[in-house]
Amino acid sequence: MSKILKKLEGMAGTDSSAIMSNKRPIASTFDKDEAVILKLAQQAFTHIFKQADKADALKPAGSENIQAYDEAHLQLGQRRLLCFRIEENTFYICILPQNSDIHKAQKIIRGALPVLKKIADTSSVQTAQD
Amino acid sequence: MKSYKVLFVGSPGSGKTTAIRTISDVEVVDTDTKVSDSTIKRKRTTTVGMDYGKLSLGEDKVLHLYGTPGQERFKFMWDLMVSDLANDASALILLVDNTRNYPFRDIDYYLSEFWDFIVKRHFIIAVTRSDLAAEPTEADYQNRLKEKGIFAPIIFIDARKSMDVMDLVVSALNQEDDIDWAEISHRVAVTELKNRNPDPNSPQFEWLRKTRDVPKISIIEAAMQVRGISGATHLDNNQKLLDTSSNTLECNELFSSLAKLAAAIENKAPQLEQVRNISLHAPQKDSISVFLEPDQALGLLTLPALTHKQIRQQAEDLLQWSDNVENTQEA
Ligand SMILES: Nc1nc2c(ncn2[C@@H]2O[C@H](COP(=O)(O)OP(=O)(O)OP(=O)(O)O)[C@@H](O)[C@H]2O)c(=O)[nH]1
Ligand SMILES: [Mg+2]
Repeated sequence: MSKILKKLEGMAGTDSSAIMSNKRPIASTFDKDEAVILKLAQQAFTHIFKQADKADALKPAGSENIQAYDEAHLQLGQRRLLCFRIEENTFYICILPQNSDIHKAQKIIRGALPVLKKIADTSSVQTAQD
Repeated sequence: MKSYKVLFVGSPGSGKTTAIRTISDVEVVDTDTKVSDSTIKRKRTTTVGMDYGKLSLGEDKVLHLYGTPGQERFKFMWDLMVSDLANDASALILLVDNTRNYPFRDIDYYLSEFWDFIVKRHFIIAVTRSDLAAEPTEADYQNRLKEKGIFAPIIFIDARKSMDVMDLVVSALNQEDDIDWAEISHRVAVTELKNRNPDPNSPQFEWLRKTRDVPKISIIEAAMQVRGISGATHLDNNQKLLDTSSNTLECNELFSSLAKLAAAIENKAPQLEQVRNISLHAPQKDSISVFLEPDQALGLLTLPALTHKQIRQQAEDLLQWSDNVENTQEA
């Protein structure tokens, strides 16, 4: 599965990436040294989306922006962590190095979201069977 | 006829046009126009094309002075000048406006933008507008460059004074030994004296009138004049609201909770680099972004069509200018 992640990284220009489901990586190319960053990212993004949903819930019912935020960024120094919310508790998280084309990465990852969702779905079934 | 060239670069308002006009023998080609976006409104005019001036260095020598437009939206001109017109320039002079909130960041930025050009030429840093903001000091700049391992003269100048600008030129051409600098400086000084009381109908007078500094407006007012920004909130270093485009802005809570999260991450994981930005996006929804500095933060609500890069550029520009932060120095 990390092969698919690697391929996506190559196209989007990102470094390490992972699919996280219920706080655990189900596929990841983050190495040991970066495990701390992945863990922090997972916690931070969970919090960010929670705050965003809370803000959206305050909006009057039926207002134009009913769609929920599904993408969040956290810039650390010159690096940027990107997170796409595939499902309520399933995130795709990756690192974008300095000076990369954010717009391109966003577009490519968005295009790959259905595939990522499939991977997330099948592996959660597998874990359930294990 | 032997000709020399120097290229002036620097942030909007750092004094490129002023410096070139101050010493040029010829009337400077005027491509300045009224400003219309965020840098804007803080300055009456900005350069859209490029600045060009000329200074005779004697019978058979002439110095061409080129200046880039400061605003990033004219960046294509930078490439054009570096690869063509000013490609054979002997020096690059970086003007740094000392009244910006984070002037060191400008140095980093222009170093990286012009690095290939700089490595092969003389590189001089000229700090302007230090009469308006005394800090950072010369020693601060020296320490900063030392930390970065960069060797360059740092000269504090007032770009409106011809003798100050002459110091830069002399430093830029210091390897040329057969130029009579005393003679040239004298000529420039005399011209400056003559122009001191310009005839109200003269082009110089018109220019002085146009470029007088305009009163500053708040960071929020400036933000709201940028196309694509529909809400803005300025926070202090404790994530408290300083100013906002609307007190009923639904995302105000969200801005401050994101700024708090950034502070929490820094407390919990000090080994990591500083959190500079947190943002939220969705395809058909206004984006939420918070840009963080050690002493302030700016939250922006922007139309989905605005790219991340455009938002970042505007935010950085706005944060550089805001005046409700204390004059702190970057680490
Ligand atoms: N007090 C003070 N004012 C200065 C100094 N240098 C320049 N100025 C003023 O700053 C203003 C902006 O200068 P410009 O020469 O237009 O700046 P620029 O770098 O050409 O700006 P862009 O064309 O927008 O990139 C002018 O009103 C100058 O008179 C200085 O050292 N001290
Ligand atoms: Mg100018």
